[in-house]
Amino acid sequence: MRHVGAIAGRELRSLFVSPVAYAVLTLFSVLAGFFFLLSVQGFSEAINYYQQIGQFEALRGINLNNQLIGPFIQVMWIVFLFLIPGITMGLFAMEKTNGTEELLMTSPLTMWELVLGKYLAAAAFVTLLILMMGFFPSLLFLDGDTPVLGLLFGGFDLADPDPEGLQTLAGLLGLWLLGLTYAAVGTFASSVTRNQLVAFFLALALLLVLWLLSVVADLGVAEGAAGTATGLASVLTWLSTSDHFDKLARGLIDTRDLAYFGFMIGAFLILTKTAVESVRWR
Amino acid sequence: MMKVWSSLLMALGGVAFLFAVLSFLMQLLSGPVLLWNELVWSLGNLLVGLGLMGTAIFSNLDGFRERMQTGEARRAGKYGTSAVLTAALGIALLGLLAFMSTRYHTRWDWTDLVVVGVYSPMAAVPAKELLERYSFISEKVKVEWLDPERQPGRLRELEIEPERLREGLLHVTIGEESVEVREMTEEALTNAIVKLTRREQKKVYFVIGHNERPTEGDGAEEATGFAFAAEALTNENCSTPSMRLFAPTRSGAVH
Repeated sequence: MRHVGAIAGRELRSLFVSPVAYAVLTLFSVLAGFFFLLSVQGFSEAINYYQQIGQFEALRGINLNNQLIGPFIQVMWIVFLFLIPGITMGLFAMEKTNGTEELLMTSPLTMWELVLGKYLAAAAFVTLLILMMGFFPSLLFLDGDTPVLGLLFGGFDLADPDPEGLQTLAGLLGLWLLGLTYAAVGTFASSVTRNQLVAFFLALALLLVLWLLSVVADLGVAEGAAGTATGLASVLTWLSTSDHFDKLARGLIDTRDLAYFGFMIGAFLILTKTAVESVRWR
Repeated sequence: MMKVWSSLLMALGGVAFLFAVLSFLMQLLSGPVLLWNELVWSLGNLLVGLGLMGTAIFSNLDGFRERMQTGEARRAGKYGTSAVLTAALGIALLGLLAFMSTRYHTRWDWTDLVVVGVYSPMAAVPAKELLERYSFISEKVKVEWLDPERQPGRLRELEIEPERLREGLLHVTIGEESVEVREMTEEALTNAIVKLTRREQKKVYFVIGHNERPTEGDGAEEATGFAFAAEALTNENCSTPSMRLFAPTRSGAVH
């Protein structure tokens, strides 16, 4: 396993010597900033609306976590859905296109070292994205008297201006785990094709299926006689990423959800290893 | 050229086969009754898929046969089977661990629990003793005291009507959800916390279709209706869908 770090480092360096990483990071920070400002604007409009109609009780009930940080994290999930396949599409497909796959396969590396090294590079990049994204909600933790909050909320004094730190951290943890799962799916998609564009769309299709499985289960149950939720529906709901992520985003850390993300990452890495290894016997 | 056509047919066959499996799964999910016209759709897809895949194999039969007779095929069969079985075993083991995690699990709620004690200073002593025990055990329990005579504005913010107060109450909040506790016992307060932390909504089905008492529509709010019972259950964080015990078919007949 001593080569894992070297492979991960090499992958990360290759991302940063080309403009790809900088373009992705710039695009991501622009999108994160844009959606954060939209969330702040929505929050500010809700405050103004309640003030205008004199609903001060409703105003007091407004919460930064539920009305601002939560929607922001949910939107960034959609951004991840499209961005992470873009990061992972070249991991194995590029080796095949450049003709360096044979060098890798004949080098004194175990298959797991190769797969984990590539995956860890993608995971490190996802972690960097989460850290960048965490900057925006952290603005809200500044003291209420600072100009930042005054600027954001027009000087309105919230009943409870401080968002809950742990709930925000749980949301970011959920998005990080989701990003790591998406990176594992993207790594697998990249290992089964030599075309980067095909790898991108394959990963996107798999992620959409994982997202929509719970919707399929709900539709199936809703169409039939009420109360016929079968074991299959429960399995489909469990396999879907949506429910697990939603719970984390609400601040509820459950070992069942952590185990789900562990299972998905492990399963897709095993599939990746089998797909990469298959060139030796196909 | 033949190889390209055979690959294309194989891919199309795979898509049709996948459609067949998915549509059959959807039917299984939608209830115990399988409808004939939907089964025909699944079977049609299955036949088309198998047909296309069979055609793909037959159109490239020579290449396939040649491959099967070489050492390459034997090697692929041997190592391929081993690799696929190892992967399946690994995923099955992970699945087993994930299944175990659904049976034995722990969770941490990272949202704060706020308890507002609404009492006059004289009546607040027993409540204070009770709440001190909770806040001592967990830092997440934040306690606030509210004197209804001195802070009527805060009382309105919490939407507590003074006439409902009597001796006082505890207003327990987690996130956006809140519940009121009137009985000053450990059991009542723990029940309230359990109710708020139980995020999964329970379902209570109301049977319909055979002149049962309605929960909505005509007569629901009369003495014989169940509208108020359904509303009370909704207030207890339950959803109240209706259910027919027998599934109707498309023609409207009842089994």
